[in-house]
Amino acid sequence: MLNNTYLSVTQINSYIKAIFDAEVMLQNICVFGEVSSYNVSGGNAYFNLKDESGMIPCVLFGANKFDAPKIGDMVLVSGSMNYYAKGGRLSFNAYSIMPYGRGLLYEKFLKLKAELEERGYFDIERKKPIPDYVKRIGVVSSDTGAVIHDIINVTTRRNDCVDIVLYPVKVQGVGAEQEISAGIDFFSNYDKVDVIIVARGGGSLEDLEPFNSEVVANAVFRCKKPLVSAVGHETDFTIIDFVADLRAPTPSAAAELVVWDKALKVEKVYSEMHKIDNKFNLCIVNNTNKVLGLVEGYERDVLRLLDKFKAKIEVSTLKLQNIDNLINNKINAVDRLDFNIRKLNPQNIAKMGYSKILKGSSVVVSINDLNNDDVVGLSLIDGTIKAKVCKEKK
Amino acid sequence: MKLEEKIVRMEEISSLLENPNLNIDEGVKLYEEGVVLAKDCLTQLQEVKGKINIIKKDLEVYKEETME
Repeated sequence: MLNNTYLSVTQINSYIKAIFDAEVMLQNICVFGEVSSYNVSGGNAYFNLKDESGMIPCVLFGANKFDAPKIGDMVLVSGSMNYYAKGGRLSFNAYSIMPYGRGLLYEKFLKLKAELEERGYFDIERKKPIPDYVKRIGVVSSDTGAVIHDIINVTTRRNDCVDIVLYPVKVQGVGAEQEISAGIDFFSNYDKVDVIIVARGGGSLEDLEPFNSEVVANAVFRCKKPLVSAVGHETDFTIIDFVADLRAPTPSAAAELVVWDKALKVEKVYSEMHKIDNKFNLCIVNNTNKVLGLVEGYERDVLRLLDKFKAKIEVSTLKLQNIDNLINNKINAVDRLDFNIRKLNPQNIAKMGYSKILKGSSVVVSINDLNNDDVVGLSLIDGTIKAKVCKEKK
Repeated sequence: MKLEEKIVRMEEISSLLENPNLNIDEGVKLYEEGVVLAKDCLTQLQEVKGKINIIKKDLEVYKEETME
């Protein structure tokens, strides 16, 4: 009874293992998925394989025989599902691992890349510069899906004056490469666009295949306009990226790179205007100061001239003063002489009672000149008289 | 005469006035010429400044209209 009700761990594990071992569908199969976490221990690799909805733990025996995949790589593993009773875990026991999808496609990609490089398709010298001020962009992409909307959104946000012309194409599957190359050729000869963007969203390596084709590479190589490639995600590299004049990591980034930011440029114009304005004001102020400075200089110079002239006048005045003194001295001398002369005037002497005695016309100065009864003339202040000498003894 | 030419002449007058052997009549004549030129220059500078202010105001209006 007891044995029928309860099972031991070993019993249940053996039962589970027997079920999985008997399931042919889970033996010797190939599984593909994305590698997440990859650790090597004791010569075996332990990793998980996942896709959008789940994952399986895997063990790879003799892992050193294979190239270790990177996290995120899509791989193809061969082996069987196995129940590991000791750990009570289900895992996939792999005996081989190889890159999924890559394989042939990847080889083809490398071969074409080497060939085109040899032909000079990737030469830096032939890359055309993207114009600074693009007016119209030609976009080669699908008319459905997010890509064209992303490009329109970014473009409108940066510059509402830039037009977009879409050449709708299939971006994957049969005939896609012919359509893409026709789109590139169309814009190459269409005068109204300044630059071409070839864009596609992310996808598997197979989805991106048209952009790895020689047909598209040739169209880009012969294109006369600058061309930007924007294919897949940032990590995807396709042949078109190497031939294009510029590779953008995503379609939105392509629009960012190509479309000039109108607001930024307008701001730049105004800031330059402001600088010009400041420089001009400075020029006016400098010139005004220069003129005022010159006038100040004139005033100084003219005053100096006047001072010099004044000094000359002063010297002349001094000289004139000397002449004055000289004249005054002379006047004084003349005055003195006049005074003396006046003192000696005979009239003045006569006034004092002195009189001149004349005998005939001779002036008598001594008594010996006279004899008794000589008639002499006496000059007085108001006339002359005649007198007779009565001689006296001395 | 252009503003620039006027200023050049003013500078010439300045160096002529610095000549120590200049006679007073000549000096006064130069001084008069210089002051007249200075007045002209200042008027002209003021005019240019006014003109620029008008242009600037135009630009401001345009900026308001275009940037909203």
